[in-house]
Amino acid sequence: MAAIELPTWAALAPALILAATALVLFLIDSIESEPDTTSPVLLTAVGLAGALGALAFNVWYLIADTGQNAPIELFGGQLMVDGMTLVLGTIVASVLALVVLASYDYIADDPYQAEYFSLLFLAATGMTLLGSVDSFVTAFLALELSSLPSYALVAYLKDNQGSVEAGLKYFLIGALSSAIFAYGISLIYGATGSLQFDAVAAAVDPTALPGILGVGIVMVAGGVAFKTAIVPFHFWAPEAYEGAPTPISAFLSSASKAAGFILAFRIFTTAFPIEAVATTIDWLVLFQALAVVTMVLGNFAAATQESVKRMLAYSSIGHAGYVLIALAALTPTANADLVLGAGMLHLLVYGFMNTGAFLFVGLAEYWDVGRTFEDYNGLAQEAPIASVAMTIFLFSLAGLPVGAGFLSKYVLFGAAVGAGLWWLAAVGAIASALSLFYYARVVKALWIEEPSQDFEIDTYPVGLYAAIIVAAVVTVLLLPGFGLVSEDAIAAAGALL
Amino acid sequence: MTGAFDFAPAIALLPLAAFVVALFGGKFLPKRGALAGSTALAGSLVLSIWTLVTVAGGETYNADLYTFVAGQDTLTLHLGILIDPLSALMLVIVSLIALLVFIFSLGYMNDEGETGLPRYYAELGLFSFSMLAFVLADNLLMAFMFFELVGLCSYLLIGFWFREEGPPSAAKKAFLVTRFGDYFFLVGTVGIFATFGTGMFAGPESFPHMAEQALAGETSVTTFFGLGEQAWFTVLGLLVLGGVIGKSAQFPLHTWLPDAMEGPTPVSALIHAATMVAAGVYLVARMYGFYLLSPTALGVIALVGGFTALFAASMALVKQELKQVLAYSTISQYGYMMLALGGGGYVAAVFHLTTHAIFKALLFLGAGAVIIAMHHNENMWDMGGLKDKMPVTYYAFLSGSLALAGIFPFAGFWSKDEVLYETLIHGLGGNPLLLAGYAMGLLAVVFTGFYTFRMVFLTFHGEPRTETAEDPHGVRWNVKLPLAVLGILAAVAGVINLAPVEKVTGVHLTFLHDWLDKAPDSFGTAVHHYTGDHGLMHEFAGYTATNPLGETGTVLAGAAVSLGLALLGAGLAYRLYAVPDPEEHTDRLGSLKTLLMNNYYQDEYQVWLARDVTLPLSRAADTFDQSVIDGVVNATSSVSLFASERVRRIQSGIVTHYATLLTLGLVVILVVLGLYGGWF
Repeated sequence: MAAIELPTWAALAPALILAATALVLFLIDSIESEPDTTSPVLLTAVGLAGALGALAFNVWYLIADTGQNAPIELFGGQLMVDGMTLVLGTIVASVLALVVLASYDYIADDPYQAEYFSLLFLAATGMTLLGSVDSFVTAFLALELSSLPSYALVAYLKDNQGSVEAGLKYFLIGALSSAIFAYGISLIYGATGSLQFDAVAAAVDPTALPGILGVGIVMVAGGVAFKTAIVPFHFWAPEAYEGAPTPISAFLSSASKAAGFILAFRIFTTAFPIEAVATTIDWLVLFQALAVVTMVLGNFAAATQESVKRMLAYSSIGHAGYVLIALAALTPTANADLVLGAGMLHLLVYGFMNTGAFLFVGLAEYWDVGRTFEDYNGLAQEAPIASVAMTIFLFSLAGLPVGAGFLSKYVLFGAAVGAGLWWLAAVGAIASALSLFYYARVVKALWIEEPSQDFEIDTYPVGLYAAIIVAAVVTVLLLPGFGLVSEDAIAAAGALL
Repeated sequence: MTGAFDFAPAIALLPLAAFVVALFGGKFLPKRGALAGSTALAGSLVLSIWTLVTVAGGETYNADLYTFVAGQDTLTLHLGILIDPLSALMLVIVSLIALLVFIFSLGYMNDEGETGLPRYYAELGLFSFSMLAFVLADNLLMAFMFFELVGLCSYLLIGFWFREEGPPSAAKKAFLVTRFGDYFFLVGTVGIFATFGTGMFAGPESFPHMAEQALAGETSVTTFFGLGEQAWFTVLGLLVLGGVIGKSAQFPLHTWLPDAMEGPTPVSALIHAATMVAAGVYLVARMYGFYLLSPTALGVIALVGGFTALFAASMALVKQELKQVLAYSTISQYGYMMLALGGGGYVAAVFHLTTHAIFKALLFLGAGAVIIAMHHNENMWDMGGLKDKMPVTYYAFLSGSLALAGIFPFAGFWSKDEVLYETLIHGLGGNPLLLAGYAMGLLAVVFTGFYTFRMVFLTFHGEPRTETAEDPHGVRWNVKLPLAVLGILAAVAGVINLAPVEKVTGVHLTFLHDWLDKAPDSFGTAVHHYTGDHGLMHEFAGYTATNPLGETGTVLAGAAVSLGLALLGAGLAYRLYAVPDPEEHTDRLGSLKTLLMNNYYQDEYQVWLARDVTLPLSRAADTFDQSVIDGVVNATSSVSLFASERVRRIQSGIVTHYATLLTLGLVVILVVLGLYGGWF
């Protein structure tokens, strides 16, 4: 940052831009002459500008090494900006941009569009902030900031029973999980007398009150497990993803999950480093068990779904299990930089391929194709480009080398093997093999099956198509460009440890 | 400074360019790609000759061109070029014959108004490219790749007239039978790479050299299956020999070659007589330093060669179609080359390879001319008296026949005599296997003389036996030119290695020996390294030469015996068939003729092997695969699906259940970790 010396608070620029965009959207909504007269083009343009602005700042900071040599601390150590913050910011802003673009078509006929976009940006602000929290207080606030708008967004289709029901369930489970998280925080405070991550780590005393600390840690883990849809805190996910407007499903399963994981990475490496708390609670074992259960349950449940969207919801749970390997494999013998970096890389790649896959489902909903695998039969004849993109997403999700999903999974499993957890990698590989079965079902339906219905496709929505194609291009380009991004991610992980 | 070797890749690449031109532009070219091919081959021939001259000046070349897999701490796979006297000679032979065949094809294919000519010339170009690249190969893997590619071209060209019934089936047979041998070759190639970490033919890093050092106890290599080093090298040598036996049509994988005559005659001349079939023999010569380390492998080569020479010659005795006689004669002649290699006659084998390439290409092209004249009737009993109608063809064909039969002083006499002589002296040196091979080779000489002249007399002499033979179709310069060139060569090519004359007169005349000895010592491919006084043959194979009648005496006796036998066979044919109206004297052989006509039921037993042995085995394997393997797979998937169905039911849709399960899950985690961590 030689050319321009920005003030320190400018390190938060990505989050600030998102928050400002949310407010601008509110403003536009409040000054319109009559309800729902604002042009959707204007709203989308403002949203896109905000998301791309945030993305630009993140990428710039990543390239300029902002906070990557030494974390930038703000507000008396409540917030901080380091490499991991920027990686998360990049993921959230990228997914947000795709979702905004796709929403232009998806909610074209629905009311309250300004509110929709505004809530989207508030949630994104919370998610971005989750990457920079440095104490349990800000962590709780950021978590709620990202969660509360999400509940509303899931229930956005007010006349759709599924949407409303999903929103309510999400809210109830979310409330329960938040309560558990908040209670966990209070127990931690009771055991250590501090809320700041570093201070907690310094104050951990394995001999005094081990039970209180242990229960607190498990409950905090529960809080992040809710956000990342890890078993047994996953129950909301299939319902919410299926009921929500599809761009929101994409947003929650990609960006929100990434935010939850980044928070988990930070808490468990800075507040509860395994060296400090191992005698009280060996959270490696906890996460290893949860990773196995999550991978197995997510993939097995996905295998028998009839609805493509619900299949993607369960597959998203399975992918949470894969990423959890990054925490579970932080054994003393592991190459810790590589393990955590691999988790972040998978989140980044997943952000594009999963968003793309959900948006394809959104496209199918836009055309009223139907929900099930059979309804997709022969769709490739009508929409070949989008079908090619979907095929790339699905094979990349399964870990075939058509997209970067292959490499990120490979690095992740490789890092687990390097950490001595070959069995965990083996479970992951078997789960991936199973996942190929249900991903391939969609591909087969698209390309091989004869159409079971007459498609009535008269328009090709520009926004959705653009978002899908961008996601596909990035998914493929990350394959050759993997080395480029992996350096940043592994360096960001290294700074954390 | 740029020399011939800088253009060496172009020798192979020019025909490749011709392939592309003929394939995509053949339709628009005046001669449908023949001119492009001829031009390219002429270029290749010029470059080959330049290379030959450069090698004659004492230079050689061994270089990598392109590495496609660079190994770290392990083997590296690459394409490269090895030019030593052997490959330089082979390059000239291949490009010369290919050029002549391109020219001849103008007469055989274009003038006859065949369709599909661009395809024909494209395939011919691709073949020339593959064959030349095979010859240039500096390592076993590259050799294998182009070995397979020539096999593919052979398949395509045999099946050129794919709308008829015979050619596609013959093409498939050729492909399958040679592929059977190539499996062994592939396994052998992998074995050699695994053992030595390299497939290089020449140089200090080559596998023959490493094997030699290993046997001398200087280094050690990895062997497999608990075999000793020499035993393991024998296994590797025999595996590679599998490919050789398939490609050079040696017993028992010779059955494809007679059928391959379904292809156009120029193709038979180029591929199934002069070049591709020689690839097997060339490969053995190329890695001769490796075979010399294993007396067992040499014995097998000699025995297979000698037996094939006799066996194929006996079948040629009764064939009625011109090209069939030539096909069996080809098999027989390659048997001689293998016999020479197995018998320690490296120079003799290369010599016979060279002369055979010339006179067999000549005979096939001559047969092609006859076939044009006879309106594509190939039965010799329908010919007769063609001598006066087509004199150029007759005299050229006669020259080739005299060479084939081994009549003094035509090329074949010198080379066959040297083959037999080398085998004899090494056999007398205490190797009964070689003596058995020699005996079979000697007997085959009689047969060769007989079937060759039976063919000549039936075709050209006597009275015309059909109307077509009375009024044959004329042929043009493009047929006559190649015949004339080859006819002269067949008569005089023997001068390149007049070993017997040298031994008798003392004048130095063994030019081919000197030529092959030019390879630098660092390559380890020179003759003195193979068969010299301190060569591998003496050190490792344990061959010694014994001349019971003194050197000159043995040479003369051997030559006299083989010439006498050849004249005996030819004379018998003259008596029986050089009459105005010959009869089918072979009928007197009775049931033996039936056996010979049916090729010793070789095809039948191979079909039986395929249909009654392999097929039931495959069916059993299929049943095993369908029931056991698929059963396990299906069981896994049904268990998975069943489990999935159960897992799915946890998601009941009722939010209170979710809250309960979530809380219970948390409690279970707390209890387990609490007990584990000792909180209570």
